[in-house]
Amino acid sequence: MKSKKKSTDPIYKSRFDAAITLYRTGRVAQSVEALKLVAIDYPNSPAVHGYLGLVLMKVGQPELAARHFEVATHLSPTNETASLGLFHALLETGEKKLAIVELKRFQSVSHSDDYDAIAADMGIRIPVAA
Amino acid sequence: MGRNKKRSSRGGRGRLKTAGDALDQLLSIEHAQKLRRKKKTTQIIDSTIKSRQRLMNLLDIVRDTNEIEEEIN
Repeated sequence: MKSKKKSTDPIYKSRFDAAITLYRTGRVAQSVEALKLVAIDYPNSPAVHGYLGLVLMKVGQPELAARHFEVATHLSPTNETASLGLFHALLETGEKKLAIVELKRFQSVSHSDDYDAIAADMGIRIPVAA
Repeated sequence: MGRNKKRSSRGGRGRLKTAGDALDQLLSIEHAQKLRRKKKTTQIIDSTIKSRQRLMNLLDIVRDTNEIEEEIN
């Protein structure tokens, strides 16, 4: 299993670009399959997991999306996009409590204006980032 | 009995005059509570939907690996 993760690897970049192009040209199912393979070969890329999560959300697979967003947040704990992806995917699967756990976790290590608004509306007290 | 009737007609110390009045007041309170809950729910939906929309917009914006890595890395 490879562990290369950044665009310094031309094969990684080529395969990831191809998967993105598939999505952008409407071949969404093929894009998902291509992204899954890239994610297997490059498991340490938060970008691949995050992008795959977004596409899975788009095609109505929030449970699988949540799993990829979760990997992305583990790889990149302070990345807002990965965290928000996980939050929304969990909400869509009915896991509101877990979504709030992620909201609080992220706000404890970083800051998101989106989370600020959501937390204020939901009456959630959030810890202040260190 | 006459005493009871008199007290009933003036409604006592701030009490409701009839069962109908009590029911009206109860329904009014429930209605107000429902409105408050509805408003709060709407706010939650608004902020959440806007956030989700921004997130999903990334799919329309990102064109290649470099751009998605700028967002998620």
